[in-house]
Amino acid sequence: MSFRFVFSDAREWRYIIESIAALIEEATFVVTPEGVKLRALDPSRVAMVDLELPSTAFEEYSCEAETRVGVNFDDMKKILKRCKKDDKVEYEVAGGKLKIKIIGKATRSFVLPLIDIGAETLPTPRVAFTARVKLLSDAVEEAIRDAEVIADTVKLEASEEMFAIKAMSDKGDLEVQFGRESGSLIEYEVTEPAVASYSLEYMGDIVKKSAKIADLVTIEFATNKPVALTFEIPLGGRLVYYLAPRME
Amino acid sequence: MRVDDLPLPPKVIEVVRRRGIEELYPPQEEAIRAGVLERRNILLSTPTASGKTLVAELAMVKNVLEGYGKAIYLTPLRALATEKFEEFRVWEELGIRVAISTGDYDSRDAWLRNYDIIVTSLPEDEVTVVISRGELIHTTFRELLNRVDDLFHVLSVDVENLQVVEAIPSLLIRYPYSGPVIELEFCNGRSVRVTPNHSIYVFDRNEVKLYEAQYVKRGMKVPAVQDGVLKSLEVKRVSWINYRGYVCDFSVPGYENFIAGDACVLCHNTYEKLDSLIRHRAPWLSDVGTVVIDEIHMISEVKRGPTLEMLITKLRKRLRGIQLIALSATIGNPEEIASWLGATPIVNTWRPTPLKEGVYVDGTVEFSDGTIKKLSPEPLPYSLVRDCLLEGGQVLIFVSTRQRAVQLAEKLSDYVRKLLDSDDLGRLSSVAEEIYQVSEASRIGEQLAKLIQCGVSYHHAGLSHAQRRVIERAFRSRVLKVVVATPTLAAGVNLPARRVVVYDYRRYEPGRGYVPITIMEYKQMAGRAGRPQFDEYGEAILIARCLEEKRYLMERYILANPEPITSKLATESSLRTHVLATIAEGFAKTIGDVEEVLKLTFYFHQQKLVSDFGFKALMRSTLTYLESRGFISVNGDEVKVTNLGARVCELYIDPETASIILSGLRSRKQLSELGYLYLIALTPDIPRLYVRRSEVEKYVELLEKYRSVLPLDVSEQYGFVDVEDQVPVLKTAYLLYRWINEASEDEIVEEFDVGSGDLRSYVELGEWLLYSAHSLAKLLGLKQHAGALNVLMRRVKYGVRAELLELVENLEGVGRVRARYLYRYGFKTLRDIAEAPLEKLMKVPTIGPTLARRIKEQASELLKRGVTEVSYHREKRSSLGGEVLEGYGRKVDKVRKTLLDYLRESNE
Repeated sequence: MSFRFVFSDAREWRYIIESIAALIEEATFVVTPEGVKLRALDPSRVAMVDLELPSTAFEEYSCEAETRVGVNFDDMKKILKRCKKDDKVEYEVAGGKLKIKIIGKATRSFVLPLIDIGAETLPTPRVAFTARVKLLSDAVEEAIRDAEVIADTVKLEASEEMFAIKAMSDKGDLEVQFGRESGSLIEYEVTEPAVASYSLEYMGDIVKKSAKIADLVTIEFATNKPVALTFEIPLGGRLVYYLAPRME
Repeated sequence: MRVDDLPLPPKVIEVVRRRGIEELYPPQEEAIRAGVLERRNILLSTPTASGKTLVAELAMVKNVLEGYGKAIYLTPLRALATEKFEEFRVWEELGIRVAISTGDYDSRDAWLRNYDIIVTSLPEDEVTVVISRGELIHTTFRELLNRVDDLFHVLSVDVENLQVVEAIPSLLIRYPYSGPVIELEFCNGRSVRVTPNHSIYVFDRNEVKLYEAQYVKRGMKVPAVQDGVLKSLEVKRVSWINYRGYVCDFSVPGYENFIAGDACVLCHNTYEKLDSLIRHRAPWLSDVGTVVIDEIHMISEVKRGPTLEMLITKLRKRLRGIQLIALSATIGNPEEIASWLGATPIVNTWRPTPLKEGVYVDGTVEFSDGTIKKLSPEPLPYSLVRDCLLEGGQVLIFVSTRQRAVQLAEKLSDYVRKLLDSDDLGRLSSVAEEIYQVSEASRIGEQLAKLIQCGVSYHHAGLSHAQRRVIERAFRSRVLKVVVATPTLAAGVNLPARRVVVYDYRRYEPGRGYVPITIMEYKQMAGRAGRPQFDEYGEAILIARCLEEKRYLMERYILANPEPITSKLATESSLRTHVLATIAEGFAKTIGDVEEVLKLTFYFHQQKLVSDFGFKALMRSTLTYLESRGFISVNGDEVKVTNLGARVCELYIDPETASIILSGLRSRKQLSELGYLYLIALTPDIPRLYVRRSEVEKYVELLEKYRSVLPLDVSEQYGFVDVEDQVPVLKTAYLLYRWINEASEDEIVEEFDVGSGDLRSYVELGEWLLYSAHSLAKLLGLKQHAGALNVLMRRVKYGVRAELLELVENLEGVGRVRARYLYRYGFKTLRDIAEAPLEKLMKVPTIGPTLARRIKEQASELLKRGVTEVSYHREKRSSLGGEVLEGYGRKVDKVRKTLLDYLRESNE
């Protein structure tokens, strides 16, 4: 049971890990000859992370058989904070330990114990979304940050004409519109108008970190159904978040 | 024998005569003749109301006055302890100090839960402690003793969070002491005096540590409280002083310290139980000369019997030369108990009012003395009450189940109402009003009020304490005419009536079906018949359906002698609990010692002739069990308690409970709130709710739904393998789960088919077990669990979601309902309330002008003192870990389903 892979952009890798760590404390990487996967629920079971990285996303990749690696994301995050621009990062499991090497001007090796995490098989989500919006991730990030000023819930609305991010509370109201003509909106499909609210605490954690990974985000949702936020990773693969709605 | 002729000082006789007693009852006389006033051990086995208490009282008073030291009076019920305490206070005029110690509701001390003690002691001393009731007061210990019955709080410090809290002390003790005390003088000029081995808190680098006072040196810093704020004080001077007088001790449940002395220094107390007093407080305890054990027949009770038995055993082992006075109802084997205690048995069936016992069949009652009484030609149950009520008597009816009690009371209500006059009805409506006021669940309050207006009520353990007290008082003052009760009443409160009807002589026991009550139980019920001041005689009536049954009942109950009482110590559960306690409390250092202690028990006394071999095997297997779970270590013949074992013993939980909790906590990093509740519902310390056939489906569905968050592996490991075993556990856990998610009391009573008294006791039990789980997690360094359990325990105590804790824990007069309203109207924190205009607060439902002012004042005061704000944020963080099920911490109310639920739905 062993594998080794090198990710060529340590900073990008760090952002991926940080965006997962925003929601999850511990999770299991499933490393197979095809690539790396991770799927986990946050402790309150409101949000789920689904990461898929094909072996081609890595500079070097070797894995003979499926290996499961339980890690504490908090610890890993701290290690990866030490990455500099132009560093590479290497992961290797051998002898029951996880070795993380940061390869730059010098090679620094960190060794982490593997932790045993009860494996809960999570279903592959197949939600029937009625709206699909692809837009600039930093535009979404700005809108979410605006909403945080006002409320603790954010409402997503998709109509024929436009996609809107709204927030309201006794402090006031906010509405950010993305019309079909808006420069930020790349793709827009609505089969049925959709409205749903989500926790800003979670939405903020997701968007603020992940916007660094990818320039584009795809938001899919339906009325009072979970939302899926998909970030395409430039080197290949994707990071998807699912978040349960808040019912009013 | 006349009271005047008693060998007692005139001032004692004077007090007795003032109570209107001139002549002694025959059993009392017999006890005097047997030497109860000459320090002989006595077992008094006589019917209720035959004056047992007076015998014990005279012996205690005589012994105290003659310098034989203190007397302890043990009673099995809190209510009885209060009753006796009030009675005994008449002796204060002779300079005898009377104190009461009951495990109050806040106390998690199971020993005190089970057995209350009253300590009489001798006067004088001034030790200052700081107590508070809104404000800080410096007062003396003597003053405190005078105030034990009005609830006062002591200030204590939650060392972990470094915040000042208030707690109700559960035990107050003072004892004579002569030897050195240490005076610590602080930089602010104030000082405190403590005994050398008293622990106080000291800052050690960044930690707060416990030091015995004798090791405290000049220059050390100690935490102290000034004006409600924690400060650090430097020790300026340490001096040893010779002291002769009294010192005091008391315990604060939940927080193991209190604030004492002029300097307001934190003093540690050892989480007192009488048992641990036996160990540590030799100076106080060796001063005990008399022990009275009321209701000693409780020894045969499965649950509490063994505790009582072991307590008596230990007291006798530790205190030589004491006088034991045991009081008991009529039992089958008084001689056997007496010989165990080394006491003279006094058995007498004399009663102050004669008792006629009979069987009803077909409209007539045939009494055992051969007389026959024809009742009115109406069907049951009407004929049983008519003549008695018309002649001015009262009727007490015992039935088998709570449900039957309610049904029968309802059936009788209209009938009884017609027999009453307008005076009665007037008084009854004020009682009805009162019962409605004290009822939290309005549905039950209405039902009771309606019945009481007709002069009838039911009475069972499902009712709350307050409700029961109203009913009992109304019956004693003869306003209420008929009470239908379950057998629990017979064992507890003294509630006599002219006629007692034992309507069902069978009672339902879960798992066994209907079983006939024991003769002792029947005698206890029948013994309630006849009130000395009002009735010339009492009648006890059993109900038969045919002549055959009549003959059977006459022989089986009326003409029979009560069963012998037997020890219940030899069950796995009691043995493991009490053997552990024996070792932990220092009574046994070797296996031989354990054996020696066990040989002093009533169990051994009863069994020894049969098989010494079996006894040894039982002891060995208990020791093996305790060792395998890590509670004790055995090395050759030597036995030692481990830290874990000591904590388990202190927590007063069954070792098996600890073992179950630990299996659940150790195998995972966190659990959902329902998961924790499920875990404690698995333990033998909580009775599981019965799942009716019609409910099975609902709970099986819930079990499926929550499968992933329940510690089902633990339940399988401990024998709850099948769904039908797991379903009652889930139902029990689910009751608490609904409670902490703010289901109303009415909803819970309805949904779970329990009384509000049951809900209370589940809440108490839940809080106690979660507290235990919390302490175990803390001991083992399972921080995440400890944090989550701490929040959960407090939520169970108040029945709220986490976001309301700040309000309910800090504001007097704000319970779960009001807190929720406040929260909903935007008053989410103390700060919100302190800053709110009064008019706005008054707009909140259930909050009137007075309360609005009061809570605003409290909130401002608390904020000024800086008492609470920090604590809440800590909770919020840890509660996130605990709320796996529904997430979101503060905002939990809006999420109904988890993400998984949605995903599963869409996949279907």
